[in-house]
Amino acid sequence: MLLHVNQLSIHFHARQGIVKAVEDVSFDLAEGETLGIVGESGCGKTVTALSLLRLISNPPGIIAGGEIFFQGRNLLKLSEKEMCDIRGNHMAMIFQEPMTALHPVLTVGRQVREPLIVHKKAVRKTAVQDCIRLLKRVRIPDADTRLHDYPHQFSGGMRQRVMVAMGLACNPKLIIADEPTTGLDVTLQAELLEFMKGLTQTEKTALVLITHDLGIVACYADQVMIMYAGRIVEKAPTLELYRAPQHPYTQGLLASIPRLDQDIQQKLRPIEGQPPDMANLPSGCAFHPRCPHAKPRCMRELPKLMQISTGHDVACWMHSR
Amino acid sequence: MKPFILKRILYAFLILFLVSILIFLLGRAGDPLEKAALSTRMGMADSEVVDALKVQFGLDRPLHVQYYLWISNFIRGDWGKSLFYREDVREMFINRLPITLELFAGFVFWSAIIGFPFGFIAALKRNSWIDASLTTGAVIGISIPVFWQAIVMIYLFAVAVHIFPPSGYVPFSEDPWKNLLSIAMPSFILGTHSAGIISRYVRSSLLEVLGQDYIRTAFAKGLRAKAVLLRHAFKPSLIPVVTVIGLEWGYMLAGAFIVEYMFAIPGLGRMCMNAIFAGDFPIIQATLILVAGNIILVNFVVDLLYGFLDPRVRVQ
Repeated sequence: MLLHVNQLSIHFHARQGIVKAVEDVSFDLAEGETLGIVGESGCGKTVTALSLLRLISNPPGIIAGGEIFFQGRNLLKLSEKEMCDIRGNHMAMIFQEPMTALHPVLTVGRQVREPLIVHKKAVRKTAVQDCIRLLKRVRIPDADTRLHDYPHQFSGGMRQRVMVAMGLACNPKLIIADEPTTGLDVTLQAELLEFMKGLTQTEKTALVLITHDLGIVACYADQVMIMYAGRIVEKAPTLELYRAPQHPYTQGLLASIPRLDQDIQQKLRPIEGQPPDMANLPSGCAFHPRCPHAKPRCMRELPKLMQISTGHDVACWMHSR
Repeated sequence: MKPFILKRILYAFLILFLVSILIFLLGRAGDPLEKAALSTRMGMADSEVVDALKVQFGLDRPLHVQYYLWISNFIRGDWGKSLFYREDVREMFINRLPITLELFAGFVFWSAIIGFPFGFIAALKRNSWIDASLTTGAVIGISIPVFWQAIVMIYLFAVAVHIFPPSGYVPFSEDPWKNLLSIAMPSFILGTHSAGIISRYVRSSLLEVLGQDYIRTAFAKGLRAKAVLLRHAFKPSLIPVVTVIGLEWGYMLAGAFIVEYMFAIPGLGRMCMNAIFAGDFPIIQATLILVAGNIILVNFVVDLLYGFLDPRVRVQ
């Protein structure tokens, strides 16, 4: 197993008290596999991703418990120096806002070749060659001249591709893509995702794909993990999840997106209510105030994540026997 | 980049031209001022003498002709004769300029050597007692008026403990060590304000940069904290700092006048102060032109530095 996350909890110390941004999250990821993490804003998906690279800023954030095994090593036990050798080298992250995530006053070339210089001890000249090769690989036209340009001279889609090139620089075993296609138009989205899917097949790269777009997940992920209020509410192989969603929240998410095979007359059903205040979560199951099936027990007790069939886990009282 | 620089140069000259008109008019502001200025040194001068003087200094001609003569002479290097000292104004400037420049170098030295490290450390040790004390120090440095600080420092370091001379200036050629001692305190006093301002700006600007997404990206690439700081955070954090350094430059000129006066340093500031009291308008005019030129030049340099620090400024 390439990545094994076990009962991960991440807390933030805020003025209102301790915010449990991620609580008791476990998952596995094998080489060449893609895991989709889906949820509303603030459900803990980005925090989970950042914690894999140990990039949670402390203070205010702290990894309160759990284990993250990557290539057999517990990342939470490594020194900062050892962690630096993993970041950008064996595990890379693609951030969601290429506008702000790229350095505004450094040239694109310098930013893309930096991981090579840091990790592969590449000399400048070979690094420049590698950098051109990388930019060509993500299909930046005129890569050999454009690497002298600055991010503001690139279009949004090209900036995102530069981010990807930067992530690919050292051929990482795991790429974490945090909403990589937000703000891109649909054709660019498809192109980028196809490219990353290609990587998982040819390079056996594992991919953590964070998104709130269930459509993307359906096409590109092998496994899907639905998060709500910092916890996993459902985890299943992609086909299984779309065929038979078990958690009311998953069902609600799927009912709220339009489908081609649906009658046009049928209205979309949004999930009632608002996402919860993370500093002040509802008692019991955090979803109960919005859940159409809520029972008294849901208000009192937190349902545990239970396996209902092979690889399909749900945290809901409806499914516990 | 080229049209950008060209445009800035053009602007600089336009501003200098407008300022020169203003300075000229200020120098000739009304007859009464002139009469008062002239008469103070000649007792009750009779009108014939005053008229003769007016002809001698060309004050009887129409204003635009006067301006033309003054500015063309000025550009040619003829800055007129001092009314009071009867010396060539340009000569007087050339003699006093090195002294002010030395004071100036001291000012740059103190404000940089205090301002930058203080700001850096305060940002890195944010919200600690170190940050709190550095910030307090900076605010004190900004708020203390130059003249008061001068009095206190003269008392402490020249009267109570004899480390520095209380006033006066020793040329470098005469005694290098005494020269440094005589310039150390006045330049420090000048630098205090800027050091405070610079450290405040470095702190807040560095903190802002460190909170940016691209810094997180740098960490995600596997860079060590030190490399992130030096290669990614330092350059963009300088952008706002450059602006205040430009502003402080102008402040320093005003401060230099006071400090030179208090420490009896025979530089440009002291000469100009005396000229103002004496109504010696050729000197006042020349000083103002140089001060304005200096500030315009600094603004130009700041603009160029922006272009160097931030590529987004270059494309327009």
